[in-house]
Amino acid sequence: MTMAARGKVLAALGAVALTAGTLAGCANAEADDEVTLTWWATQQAASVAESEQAWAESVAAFTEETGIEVEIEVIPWADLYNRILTAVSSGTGPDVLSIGSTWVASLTASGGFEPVEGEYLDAIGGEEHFIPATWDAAVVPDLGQVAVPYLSSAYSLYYNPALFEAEGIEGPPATWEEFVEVGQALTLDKDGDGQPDQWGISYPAAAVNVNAHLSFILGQQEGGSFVDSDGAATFTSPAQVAGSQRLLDLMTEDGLMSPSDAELGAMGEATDRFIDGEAAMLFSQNPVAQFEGRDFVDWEAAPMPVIEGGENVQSHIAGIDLVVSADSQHKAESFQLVAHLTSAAEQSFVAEMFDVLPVVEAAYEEEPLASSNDLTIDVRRQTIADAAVGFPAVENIGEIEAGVGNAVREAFQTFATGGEPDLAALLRTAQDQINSN
Amino acid sequence: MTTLSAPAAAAPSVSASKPKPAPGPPSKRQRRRGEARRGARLGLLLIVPAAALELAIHIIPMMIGGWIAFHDLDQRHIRNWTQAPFVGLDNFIRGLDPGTATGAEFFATAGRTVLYVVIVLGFTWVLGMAAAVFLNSSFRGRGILRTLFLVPYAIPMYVGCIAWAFMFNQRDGMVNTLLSDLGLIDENPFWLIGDNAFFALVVVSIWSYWPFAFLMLLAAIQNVPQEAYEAAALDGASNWRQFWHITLPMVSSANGALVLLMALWLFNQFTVPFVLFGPASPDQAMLVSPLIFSNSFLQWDFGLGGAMSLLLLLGLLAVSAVYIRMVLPKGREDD
Repeated sequence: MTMAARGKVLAALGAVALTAGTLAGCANAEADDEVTLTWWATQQAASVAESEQAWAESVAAFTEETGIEVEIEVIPWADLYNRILTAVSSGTGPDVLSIGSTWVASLTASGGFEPVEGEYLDAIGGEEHFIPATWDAAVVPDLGQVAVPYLSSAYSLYYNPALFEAEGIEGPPATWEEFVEVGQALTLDKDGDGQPDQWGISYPAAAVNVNAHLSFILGQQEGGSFVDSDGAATFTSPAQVAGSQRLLDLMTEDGLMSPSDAELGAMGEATDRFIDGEAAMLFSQNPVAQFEGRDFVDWEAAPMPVIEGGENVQSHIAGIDLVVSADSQHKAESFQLVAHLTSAAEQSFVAEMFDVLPVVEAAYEEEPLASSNDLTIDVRRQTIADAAVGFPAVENIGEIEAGVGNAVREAFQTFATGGEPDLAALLRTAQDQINSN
Repeated sequence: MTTLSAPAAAAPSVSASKPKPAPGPPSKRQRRRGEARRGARLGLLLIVPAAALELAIHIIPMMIGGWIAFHDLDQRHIRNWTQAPFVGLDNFIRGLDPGTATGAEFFATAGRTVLYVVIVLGFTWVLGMAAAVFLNSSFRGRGILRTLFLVPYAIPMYVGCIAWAFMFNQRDGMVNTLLSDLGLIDENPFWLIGDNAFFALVVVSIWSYWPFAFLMLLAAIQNVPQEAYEAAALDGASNWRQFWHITLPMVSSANGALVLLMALWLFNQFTVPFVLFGPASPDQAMLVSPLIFSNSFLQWDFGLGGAMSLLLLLGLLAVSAVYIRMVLPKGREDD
């Protein structure tokens, strides 16, 4: 063999070895005595790096106290669910995961997470440690409990008091009747070109999850529901359809939502229009970080409108839960971390940092949350305490959320492109598809 | 799993005849044979890494995807996915029964995808060929134009599509602003939802893919000997006749590979609609790959997604096999 040929063979072998090495590097290699936990955290701040820094600050005390290192990976919301499914199917995921609270039932059914019972339940301070509504929302009937509530939030009505004042409107609307009246009064053609350039509300009508959330909340107000007690989809009941229809009517009948909102696929885009003064109101769980990021101060928060004399539901219990992987080699340590993250002190720190609600009552008495005079925290705290219900805890909630949200999206888009949407028929098609599976 | 492979930039080689080694004295020939054998061994060794990775990244996942198609795999079985119940042809029946919403959607989507491939392929080919012929003649500024034409191919497709999404924005996108400034529209139409979405998808796809066609065809055309054109010109052949009787036949093998490659990419198209429309394409612009994605990763019905993937794979394999037999040149016997 010539030198050149030998060189080529060596290079090829080197490439193989490198590849093999890289693949082997994916497996978990851990030292025996030192425990390092991995935690997939959610993105709460505007950037991944900012979020990571905040989470790292929150676990620093834990590492100091226990000597257990925590490796944090912040995963953007759009990727999180699929990343979790991949972790569950491969069995090589992180030890601790943050999950969206509406996924609890689906993920509990996957069997990929450790049940919260016995010594693990004791480690996190037992059920009594948590605010009852948030605890209950993490329990899945018949399947037990794998999720520990971590942070919660709720939909509220955000409004621009300067725009309200300009039209002589005092205070936010409390009922849907008032909402429509106020919204129409705030829909204005300011430059006189025959087209409104300020709308009553900006809303991400193409965002499937937001459509599903609002349909759920407005349906509950009418006395409707997404599912029956057997888990079959029931979102075509007259009451539930009326809830979704009320949302659609804001654009189609009441004319206080811009048809161009039919193109908005994310809450952030609708929030931008609100910040830009192109709309006077916004339904959102947590726009405060975006407000602050853009130095926007002309906002106030109020509870979501309700039907006069209807059910007192203003939000589902939104938020984040923590789960421990069933494949984790360090379950006890993982629950220790969960206990740390749900301690009153850390809850107070994170809640204040990200403008979310703690799931532990005592956190409201701890600094920095105790001296924070954040109005939106008060409004949401009230909503969670008095007027919030858990999202349906059934296994196929993911399909139901997608089915309802897409039907509503299609209805909005049909109207925006000049058609006449039949929302009831769209919901019926979606439901048939889900119930036939 | 789905067969959503991103288009790899594999350039089809333009076949050029290799000079045959002249026969030497017997002793040398024997030595050559030994070298050839070692050369073959080296060749085998060199393809091992590629073959191993191909197996791990494409072949095995495809086989698992085929397995999933016959099982009821959803989030309930994802942890022990090998234990998912076997359901035979259920997923195929669900996906293929035109009487159900799912089946009807699949057939409508498959038909739309064929239409999409034909339109985009047609336009990219004509544009690419025209530009290649044009730039094959020498004139001032040719280098600048060549670079300019390749810009869409040099920009990551993801970035290009995001820019298009901004431009197609209904309220303050550049397309509507331009159209209304020119007085062509009274009311801003939607481009990314409703019936126009298909049009937007086609436009962005043509923009993204035509430089590749241009590049391949230009490389092939540059291999056509100039003498052939000179001789034809002497015989009084028009430019059109030269194109038809010299250029086209001479680039036919590169052309055949190009059309096959592009058709496969376009049939599997995922990136453009995903970036343009987000995870859920509007119905009017739904293609097969985004539909499979939606079934698998938005509805978490992996069985149905797997069944549709398998059908797509088999369909494309069959079409490719027929096409390769009919159009592509056969390999030489002595290779």
